Amino acid sequence: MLDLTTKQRRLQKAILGGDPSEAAALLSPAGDSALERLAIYRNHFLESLVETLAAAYPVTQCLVGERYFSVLTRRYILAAPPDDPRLHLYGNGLATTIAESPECDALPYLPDVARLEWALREAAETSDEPPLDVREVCRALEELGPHATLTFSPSLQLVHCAWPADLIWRAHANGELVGIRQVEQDNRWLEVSRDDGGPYFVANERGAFVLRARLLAGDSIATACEAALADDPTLDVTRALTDLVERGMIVAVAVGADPA
Amino acid sequence: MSVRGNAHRPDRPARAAPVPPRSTIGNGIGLRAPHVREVLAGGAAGRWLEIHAENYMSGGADTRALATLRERHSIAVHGVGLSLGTAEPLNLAHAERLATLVAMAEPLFVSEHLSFSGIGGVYTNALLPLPYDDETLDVMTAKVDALQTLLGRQILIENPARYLQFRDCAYAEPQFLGELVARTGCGLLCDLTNIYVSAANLGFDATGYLDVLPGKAVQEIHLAGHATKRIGDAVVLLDDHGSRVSEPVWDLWAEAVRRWGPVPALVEWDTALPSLPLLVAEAARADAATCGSEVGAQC
Repeated sequence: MLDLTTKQRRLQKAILGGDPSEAAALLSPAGDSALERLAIYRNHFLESLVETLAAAYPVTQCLVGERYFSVLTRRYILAAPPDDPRLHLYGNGLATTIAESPECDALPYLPDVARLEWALREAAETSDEPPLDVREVCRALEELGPHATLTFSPSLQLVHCAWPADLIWRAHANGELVGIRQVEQDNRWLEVSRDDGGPYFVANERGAFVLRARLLAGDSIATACEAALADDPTLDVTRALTDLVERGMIVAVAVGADPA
Repeated sequence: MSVRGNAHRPDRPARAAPVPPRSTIGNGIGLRAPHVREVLAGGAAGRWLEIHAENYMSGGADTRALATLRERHSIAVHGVGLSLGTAEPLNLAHAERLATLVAMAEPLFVSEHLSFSGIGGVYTNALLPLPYDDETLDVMTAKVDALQTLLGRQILIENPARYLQFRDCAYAEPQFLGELVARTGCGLLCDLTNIYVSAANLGFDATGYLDVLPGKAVQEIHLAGHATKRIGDAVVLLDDHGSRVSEPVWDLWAEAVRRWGPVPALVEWDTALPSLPLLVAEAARADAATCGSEVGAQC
């Protein structure tokens, strides 16, 4: 007599695409009927997750077409099935599967588009943290000085793309994707977040992006500004920091860990 | 030292608010994302709304919408992700998330399934059948006990739609549910469409199922449309939630109401989602069926 763990592992193996005969032997109706009915569960597993991924990656799906999107995502699902019942978290990593799929070579911008879409999904699903207003930030910085660190809204994501994924995304939103014939490489430094209207992105200059990335990594304001100015001496750091405060991106200011 | 904004985090209540008698609750609809905006704008929404728990655990727009919805409507929370039948301990992290949601929504009912959805760190997004034997009963009992303790309230367990069953079962499904109720004090969410579909697929009598199920434990009923699929010589019924409730399921509903009296019923519709008014009208038919019955004539 098999224990429950063994029975469930056999059934799961059949759902995930393994040999279903061991599971079928445990089930009724028996024989071919068991195999055909196991396929009902397996199809539900695959189709419901393809649908989940289509909701997260509408532009990617549009670029490759529904049929190939289904092929691509089924490959992804079988290689990396969900490990969490919160399906809005499922799908991070599809960009890697795309990058590793030779059929996608003709669309070299596709992984960047997928990464932007995933960042938008994450920004939409994060929890709210009340932002500090300009006066609160200024007061905290007066007390803590330039070695303070900043904590950002959980919705803030930074995405560097080697292709203009943001322009492709906008073309899709405007119904102009079919007009895209040739896409040139173009570094894009994107900041993704969320406001009351939903998730959005803005394109940064490289220096402002470096500043945000260093702050997000936990550097103090002084260290982050130094790194950003080394990258782009023309960067207006005051303007870049003010922009973050004004858009409600900063939720906490604390004493930094790096040396004075 | 740090400066931080003021986040509001609701504390979990020690005890759930009392649920009104089941005969007074009436019938509701399963709330799906495309209808949320319309309901928020004041669209008719039946007497109560059932949400899928996992869609409201992110802190995103859906969760913010729920904070408004719960001020205007009674809510039921229906979990699909705890996989209570898996031969592993309760997924405490997920149960804690459910507890946070329940504390916020203060629902009429909290329900989960008699099924498993994965093992060894995999979640298949399917409600897979269980072998109804003593080992599974021990697993389900331990999980239901742990979850009820964590939530500080009764949960309801729903019978799944089945296309297959394990050969070596010591219990029929309604017997198994009766044992689970006796051991844990949980309630039941009786999905009549699932009974109808499973009966057709596995060859048992749906009315006979109702004979065995402990009717006093049934706190909620689910109704949904189903589809048919031909496999070889056989026709398999699929619980696809994609159409109106079929007449044979309404007949089974009338039989359930005759036996158990008015039980809050919910119409689920997930695929080929209809307009909100059509969905509400389908739920209203359950009201009429309740009130037209001998027992329901009291309502």
